Amino acid sequence: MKPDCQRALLNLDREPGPMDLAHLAECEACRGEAALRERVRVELQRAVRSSPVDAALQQRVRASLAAPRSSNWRMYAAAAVLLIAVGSYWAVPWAENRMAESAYFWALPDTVSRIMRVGLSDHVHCAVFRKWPKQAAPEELPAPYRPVMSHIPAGYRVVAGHECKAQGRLFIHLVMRSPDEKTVSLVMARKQPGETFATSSLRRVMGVFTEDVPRFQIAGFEASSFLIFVVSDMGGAENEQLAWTLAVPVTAMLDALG
Amino acid sequence: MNRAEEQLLATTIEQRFEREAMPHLRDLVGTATRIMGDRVRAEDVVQDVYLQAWKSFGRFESGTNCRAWLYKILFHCIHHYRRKWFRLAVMQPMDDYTEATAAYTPPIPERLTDEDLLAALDKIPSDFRAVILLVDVEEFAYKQAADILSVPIGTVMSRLSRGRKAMRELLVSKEAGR
Repeated sequence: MKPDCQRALLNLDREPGPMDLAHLAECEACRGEAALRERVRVELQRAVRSSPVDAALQQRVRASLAAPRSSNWRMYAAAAVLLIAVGSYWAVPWAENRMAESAYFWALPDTVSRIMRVGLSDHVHCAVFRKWPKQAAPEELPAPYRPVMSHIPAGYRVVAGHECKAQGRLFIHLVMRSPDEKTVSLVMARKQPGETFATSSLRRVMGVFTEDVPRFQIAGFEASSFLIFVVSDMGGAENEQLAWTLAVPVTAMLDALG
Repeated sequence: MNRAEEQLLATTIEQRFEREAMPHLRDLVGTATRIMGDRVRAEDVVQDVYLQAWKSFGRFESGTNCRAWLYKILFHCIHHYRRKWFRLAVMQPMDDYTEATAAYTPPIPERLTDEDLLAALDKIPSDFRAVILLVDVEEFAYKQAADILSVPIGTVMSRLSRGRKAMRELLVSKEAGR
C-alpha cells in the first residue's frame, strides 16, 4: 500500500486533513475503501436501531417521572415544613454518625487496630460501616466466585459484591447475610509492595491472623497477591474457623481471576 | 408580548422534557442494550437515566444538546450499575495504538446481516463498542463522544480505529467460516 493511501485510510478513522481529502479525490482504491466503511457504518446503525422500543417501556418511564412531576406547590410547601421540623433532628445524628465512624478508628487501641493497619485501614468504610442491602444480590454470582459460596455457612446469601478502588488499591468485596441478620464481609485487598501479615504481631494460628475489634471479628490470611479479610459479627472462634474454611477456595478463586 | 413569546412562556417544563428528551428513548435503549448485553437491564438503566434527567432538567439549558446530555447520564448510569456488581477481568484496550496496525484493512464481505453485525459488535471490548456506538451509530462528533465518556479526544479516535478494525476482522472470519 502506498504511503499516501496508508495515511489517508488511517485518518479516515480520525480527522482527515486537506491532504487526505485530496488523496481520496484522486485515488479510486481509497475512495472504494471509504465507501465500504461507510456502508458498514450505515448497516450497523440500522441493525442497532432495528429493535423497536416497547411501548410498555415508554409508559414505565413516564410513570416513573409522574411522581416528581405531580408535585405541586402544596406538596413542596408541606415538604419544606416537614424538612424544617425534622431537619434539626436528623442533621445532628448524621454528623454524629460520621464523627462516630472516624472516632471509632481513632479510638481503637493499638493492639486492636493492628489487623486493620495491614491493607484494610484505607478502606474501612466500605468494609465495615457501609450499609449493605438486606436482599440478596439481584444477579447470579459470577462463575469464578461460585465455588467460594459452597464454603459459606448454610443460610448465608450474597447481598452485595463489587470491585472498587481506594487510594489506588484494588478491593473485591463479597457481603453475605444470614436469616438472623448476621453479616460476613469478605474483603480481598490487593497487596502493596512488601505488605504482609507475617511481620505483624497479630495472633497467629498457622496462616490465619485474628483480632477482636469492637463490634466485629476480623481474621486475615494471604492468598496470591491479595490480603484476605473475613469480617463478621459472628463469634471469634466461628469467624476464625470460617477464615480457615475459606482459605483454599478463595486462593483458588483469586488464582483463576489472575 | 407577541403570540410566539406567549406560547413559549406557556410551555411547561413537562412539555419541554417530553419534546426534547423523550424522542431519544429508543436510541438510548439501543445503545444501552449493546453495551450491557441485556435488553431488560438496559431498559432499567434507561429508566434511571430519564429519572435523573428529569430531576435535573430544571438546570438543563434549552437549546443545548439534550441528546448528548442524556448520553452522558447514560454512561454514568451504566458505570454505576456495573460498580454495583463485579467487573470481571476483561480485555483492556491499549490506547497507544500504532499506525501500522490501523492501516491493515481486510476486505469486507458483500453480504452483511444484522445478526452478523450485532454479533461482531458484541464481541469487541466494551470500551471500543461504546465509541463505535456513539460515533458510528449515534453520529456524535469525536469531541462530544469524548465528553460523554469523559476521555480525551485522542482516546476516542484510537478506540474507534481499533474497534472498527476488530469488528471488521470478526466479520471477515465469519464470512470465511460460511
